[in-house]
Amino acid sequence: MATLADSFLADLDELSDNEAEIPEDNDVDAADMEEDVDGDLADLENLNYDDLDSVSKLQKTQRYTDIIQKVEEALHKKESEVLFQVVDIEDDPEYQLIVDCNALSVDIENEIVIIHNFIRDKYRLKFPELESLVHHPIDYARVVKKIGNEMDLTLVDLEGLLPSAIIMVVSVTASTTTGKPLPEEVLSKTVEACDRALDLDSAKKKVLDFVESRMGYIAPNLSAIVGSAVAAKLMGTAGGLASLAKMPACNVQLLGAKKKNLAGFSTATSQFRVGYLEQTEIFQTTPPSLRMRACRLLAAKSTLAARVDSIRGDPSGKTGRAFKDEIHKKIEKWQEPPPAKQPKPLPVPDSEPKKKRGGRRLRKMKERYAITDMRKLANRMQFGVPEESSLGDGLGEGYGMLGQAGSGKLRVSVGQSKLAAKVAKKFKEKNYGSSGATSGLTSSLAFTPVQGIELTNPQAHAHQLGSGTQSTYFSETGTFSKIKRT
Amino acid sequence: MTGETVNPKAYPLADAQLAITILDLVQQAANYKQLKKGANEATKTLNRGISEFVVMAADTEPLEILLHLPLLAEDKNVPYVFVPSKQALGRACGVTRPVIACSVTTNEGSQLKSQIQQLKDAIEKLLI
Repeated sequence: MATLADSFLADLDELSDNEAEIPEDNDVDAADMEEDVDGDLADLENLNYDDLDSVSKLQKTQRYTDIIQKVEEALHKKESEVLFQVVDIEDDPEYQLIVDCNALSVDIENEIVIIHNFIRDKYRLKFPELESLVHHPIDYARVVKKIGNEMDLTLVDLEGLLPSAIIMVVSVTASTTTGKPLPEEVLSKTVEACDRALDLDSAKKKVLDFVESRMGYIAPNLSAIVGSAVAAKLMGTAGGLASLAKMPACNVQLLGAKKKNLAGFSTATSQFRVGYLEQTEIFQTTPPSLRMRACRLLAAKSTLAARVDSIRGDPSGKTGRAFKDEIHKKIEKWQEPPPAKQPKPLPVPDSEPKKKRGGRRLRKMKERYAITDMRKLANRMQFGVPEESSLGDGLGEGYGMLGQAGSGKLRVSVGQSKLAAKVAKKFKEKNYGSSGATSGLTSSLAFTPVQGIELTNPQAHAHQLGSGTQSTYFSETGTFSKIKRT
Repeated sequence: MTGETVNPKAYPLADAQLAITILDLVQQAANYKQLKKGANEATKTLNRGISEFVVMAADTEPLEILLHLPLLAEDKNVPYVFVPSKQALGRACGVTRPVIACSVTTNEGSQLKSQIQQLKDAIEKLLI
């Protein structure tokens, strides 16, 4: 049956594509009816497309008449008689009637689609835009029956048939439509088809009401989770309880989903249609942000409940109520806010031993990078005394206690550091100066690392200029050779 | 588990030795990517006709949530068997949660083909 419904939906898509070409529509409808009669070519030869009876055959069958009659009889049965028959549910003829009703509701749905195609093809001459405005077959049939051959739609009262927005759109579109009034014969056939579709819809409602009233002991666990109405719809769409039990949960989630309503609209809309599970009380009471998760959870638990029901595992419905409680607990758990953040203490300091202990190199490095006296004074503030700043009036960088010693100068006298004293002492031990002897080959200027430039007095040894030897090599005062003259 | 009684609907139930063999093969099938875990995926493999055999856990509560699988397996002529523990089945499938049903899938040219055939014969002997 699912494949048949899919072929009908494919035919609907094909029909919408060939909207402007009427002869091809006849071919598509002929192919549609060919599928309906399972390739019976004898009927195809006698095909009269204008005749509604050649399209719609369900209401003429004996099976349809019998089931509807039994449903009407069963609906008036007393509740006590129903309870008495719970003992041997498998052999109950009413159970078989319910199973037949599930199959019949699927057939009625297919029949309504066929009649909708018939009505739409006939009425397209009058109002071609109406089918794109009203998608539901039963609503379409009611609107067609209401409008009839009326050209001025302001005289037609559509209140109660459609929402107000769609009524306004239909009225505005009718004032600019390119359709023409139908001939009386075609109009009467169209109205007859509308009446038949409405009769089928009321019969289907009656069948579903009957199934819904008996859902308490057909599928007690499934009804406990999703309610009797949605359970009846799920069973009707799936083709029975056994077929529903054999479905994976992800297929149950999509039962009843309609894609036609989103034709032409953006898929970025936040509203999504998930089928019959959307109509359950659990889904409607869930916040919108959690509805997708709730739908998946409902589909999973409903499938489990249907499997329990399909083999009569728990007639009292206790398993279904347990599943329902579990669903409620999960949804409440999702809605809880995350736990409040506790004030976190500082992490435990790692007690790893230090790699540096001290020593000469470390002390030198500390002294080299130590904070200077100038920075220390700048970092301090004296109570009651305003500090100076680089830009004046507290702007820029503050000077702290710099320049407040009384002298008014920012320069700090440099203290004698140990390192500098040691370096100076070491440098003074080296003798870079002249040894006092002056000769013509050396300069009187001597450079030392400590003082830079040291000037010597050239007159200090003037008395030796008249010596015999003036060369360093043969100098008398030279330390190399001191030969005493006898 | 001396006081625990097995659900009589869990038929055919594998004994201890056969259960160990089944779980070993399930674990190898998981390694060879020839395993579908879970009742829903097992249902899909049966519907698609790619299932070799179906393993189910007998201590599922309620057991009725997987009793549709024997019906489907009978329709598709696929062997099915129950093992005593769903925890053990979950460990064999390689997941941390209990698994109530799994299905070993068909793969032509697989190295497990002979072992799967032997196990299918052993499972079918339980039904006699």
